[in-house]
Amino acid sequence: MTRRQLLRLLAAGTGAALLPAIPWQRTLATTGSAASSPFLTSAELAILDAATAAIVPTDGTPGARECGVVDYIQSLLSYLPGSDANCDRHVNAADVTATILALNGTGGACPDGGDGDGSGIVDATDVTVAESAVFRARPVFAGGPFSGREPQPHFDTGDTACLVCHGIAGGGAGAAAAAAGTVDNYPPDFFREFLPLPRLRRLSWKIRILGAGAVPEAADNPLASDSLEVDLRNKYRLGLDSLDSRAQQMFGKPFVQLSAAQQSQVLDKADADFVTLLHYHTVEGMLCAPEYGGNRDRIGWQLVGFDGDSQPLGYEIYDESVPGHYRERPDKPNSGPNPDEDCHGFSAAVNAFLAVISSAALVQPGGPFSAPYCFDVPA
Amino acid sequence: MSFPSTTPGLLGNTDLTGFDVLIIGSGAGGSAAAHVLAAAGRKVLILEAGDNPFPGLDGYDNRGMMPWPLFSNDEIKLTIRSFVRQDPLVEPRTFRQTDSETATAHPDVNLLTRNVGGAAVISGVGYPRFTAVDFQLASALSAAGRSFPGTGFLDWPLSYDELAPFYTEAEILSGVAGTNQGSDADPFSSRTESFPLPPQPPMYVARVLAHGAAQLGYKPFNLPSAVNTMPYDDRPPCVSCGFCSNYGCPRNAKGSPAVTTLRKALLTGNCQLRYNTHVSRLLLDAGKQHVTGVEYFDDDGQKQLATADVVILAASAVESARLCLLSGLDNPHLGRHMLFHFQTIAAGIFKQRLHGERGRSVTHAISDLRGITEGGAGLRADEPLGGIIEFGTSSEPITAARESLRPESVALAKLVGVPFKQLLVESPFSAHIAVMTMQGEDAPQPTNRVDLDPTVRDVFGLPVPRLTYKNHAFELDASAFYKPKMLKILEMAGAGYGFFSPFDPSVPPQSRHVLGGLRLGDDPSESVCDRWGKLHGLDNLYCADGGVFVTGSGYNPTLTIIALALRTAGAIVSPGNAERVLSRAPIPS
Repeated sequence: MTRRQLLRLLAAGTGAALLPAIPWQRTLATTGSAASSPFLTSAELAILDAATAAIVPTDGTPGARECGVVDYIQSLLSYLPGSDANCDRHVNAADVTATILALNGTGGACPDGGDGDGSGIVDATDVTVAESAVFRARPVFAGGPFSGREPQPHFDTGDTACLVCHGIAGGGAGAAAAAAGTVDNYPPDFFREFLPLPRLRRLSWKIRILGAGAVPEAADNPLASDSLEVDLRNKYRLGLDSLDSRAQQMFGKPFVQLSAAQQSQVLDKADADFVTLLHYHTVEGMLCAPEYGGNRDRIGWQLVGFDGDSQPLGYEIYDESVPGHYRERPDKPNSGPNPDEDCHGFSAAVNAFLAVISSAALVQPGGPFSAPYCFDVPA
Repeated sequence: MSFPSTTPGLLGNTDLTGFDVLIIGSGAGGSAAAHVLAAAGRKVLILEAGDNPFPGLDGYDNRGMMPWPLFSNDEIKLTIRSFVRQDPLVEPRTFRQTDSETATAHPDVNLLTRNVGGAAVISGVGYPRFTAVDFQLASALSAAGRSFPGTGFLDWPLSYDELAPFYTEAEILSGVAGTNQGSDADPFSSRTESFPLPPQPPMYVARVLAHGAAQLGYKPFNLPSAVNTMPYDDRPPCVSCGFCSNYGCPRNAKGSPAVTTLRKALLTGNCQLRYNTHVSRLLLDAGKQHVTGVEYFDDDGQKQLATADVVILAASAVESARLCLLSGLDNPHLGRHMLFHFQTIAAGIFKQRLHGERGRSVTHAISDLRGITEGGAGLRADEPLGGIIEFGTSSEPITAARESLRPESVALAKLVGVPFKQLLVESPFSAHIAVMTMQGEDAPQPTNRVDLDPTVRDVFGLPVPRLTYKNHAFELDASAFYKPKMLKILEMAGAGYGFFSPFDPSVPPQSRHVLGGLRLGDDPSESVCDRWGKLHGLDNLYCADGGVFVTGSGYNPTLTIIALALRTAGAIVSPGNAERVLSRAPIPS
């Protein structure tokens, strides 16, 4: 958290005036109904796809499009507390049935269960919400502790090919593999579960998705209406529409028909807050755990050289038989560089950027050092 | 006796109805107190404002072990969407620097988490002790002829030696890993005994920074941390997964309050915990000398009452002070002398990948820039009081990208011709960054305080905490003194670029070290609690969180919170002989 704080302050100190802010004209009426299925229309999705691809383009390597950023954002906007109508921590067709069965009631077995739009009563709108959620919604908070992408080493020996891996409640696949005599020490994907939200988190997510107007209890909290990441459905609806009208104004064509360079120019002139949201959610959609809808096939993690979740394997294998009780992974040691890593540093362009960032004009009193070297990296 | 609980919203013995002690908050202090009290047979009720990420914490799973928690290596969940952090959209706080300003709501006024086990659950669990001189700092400064107008330094009403046995107990309970031998020991520490667990295996980024520090004659040491380095107390060893600070441990290898003291309390059958409950008011008698219980909101937003013979505030320094104010308590020092640490944060960008995505939170640190003598008993004559410097970093690629590649920075990148994608791929701020954080001591000032905001309210309709806080030259001068030395460490470690977090006094502190406001003291005219943590003027209300701190020291505070809470609970169980509650369990060799 210290680094995050640093970077926030750093960003705040690095020329906020460089990009002119265009005041947001709140001229369009807000959508009357909380639900539409799915939330973003195909026309809006096309603009979103083009805009996020302009932010992280597909060139020699994959970009936002290959990562499924659009799916991530659609998932985010499609979530409403109560989508898990039967409260089994998964959103699927059974929730549509549960919603229909709960019609005209106030909710299901868990708080807001079936009352997808939080109106206080389960009605036809909630059936639409439930149908949308079956295809679109992803967890607000994915379950834990493990995704099943990494194995569970044997507790005493560090052996990663153990058969019974300390009884992680594997159920189906794990139990079947054990019965068949095949080795399976990968835990199930707990990330696919939807963790239920307590009341305060439900209120917060209503504010985030539907805006402060949906939560009268937040009337005396300016942050509920002034924050960037609230009222997201409305902001996306207005923001995508304004990209299109700005494209028409600047180039006489819809946004999706512009060249990449023209799309970047439109983004440069667009509402700064909305462009920031797009940047945030593009990065999230590229680098999230895949259970959230983006980072398809872990393309985003591969692009930046990030391993993602490493539990339960981790980077130090506990092994009673070795001194110090820990063995390092030869390919990815905890205490040193990877065997194949070098000391090449950054491209000239990134070096120029870092030189500006660390120069005394922006943050005192750092700066570029004259003789950088790479400790423990073979020359 | 009925536990583990199958009732939603409850952990522990669901049959309990009458309670001897009610504890507000299940963090480091509240859980430590609950452990002592429940073990001594007291019936304990804990009210926790947050949710429970530890389902089944009061029982065993099909392995016969502590069940897995809901934490995971998931940046969206823990960091971007704040799985456990107090949510400012429903529970905001306001901030201003001085009384003459109007405070404004800010999304992060040093917010801690709200969850069973409290904020230490997602901390890096660095658990060093304070040093001997910390407890008599006012006297030491005075003897050295150093005075700081506007500050309210006070000696603690207890010495390091009085707290030492409780430190030892806290280290055994939490499973602190470290060493008192050789070059990995902290020469400035006042502690001399061995640790319950062997020291942490070093992570690469800490080795790089320690290499830089050692060339300058500093003495990097293995930071005492409550992270298992071998199986301990029914919990598995850490595997250095890299998602540590900001993240709860997915395997219970962190000896956080939830999986240590709180779990022990729940398993006695003498403890019941109600989570997602928000205490709104202490119930006081007419003379404000006696507490009969509390009023709280349950997870349906309904008002409930709970009563007990003794009430312990352990909601964290800001929230405990706020609760006293909401209840009409009026000690003139209440909420004053808030302490947060003044963090000086230096970052180096290195040519090689440093793999902050691996390892524990912090494996190494230095105390050389704390301004104290070896052994921690005195002040160095010619150096100001800084703090411990932690060597570490974690790698959160989304956070790094979101914070460093915002429109301002994107515009800057355009200016020098770097496409957004290139910065994302080359990852200077995540894969190549090393961070040093100095936990500088900030001076206690009566003007730095928490009170109730006149206009902003939370979703319960209650006034939110208003923080008035402005840094003193005491910590600003120390930071300026030590900055060039920190930069030199980065240079010697091989960094290509180095910079500091610029200080902006209009941004509230965000150190997560939240202390003061109900400080201890023998003299009721200059303190809020007595030496045992009981509020002056009340016969059954105690504080057992960071609120009781008299000074902040320059070290991570959690172990001291636990030690003080054990001592306070010991005094409740055994007045006049608090040490009687210590286990005296042998430390494994």
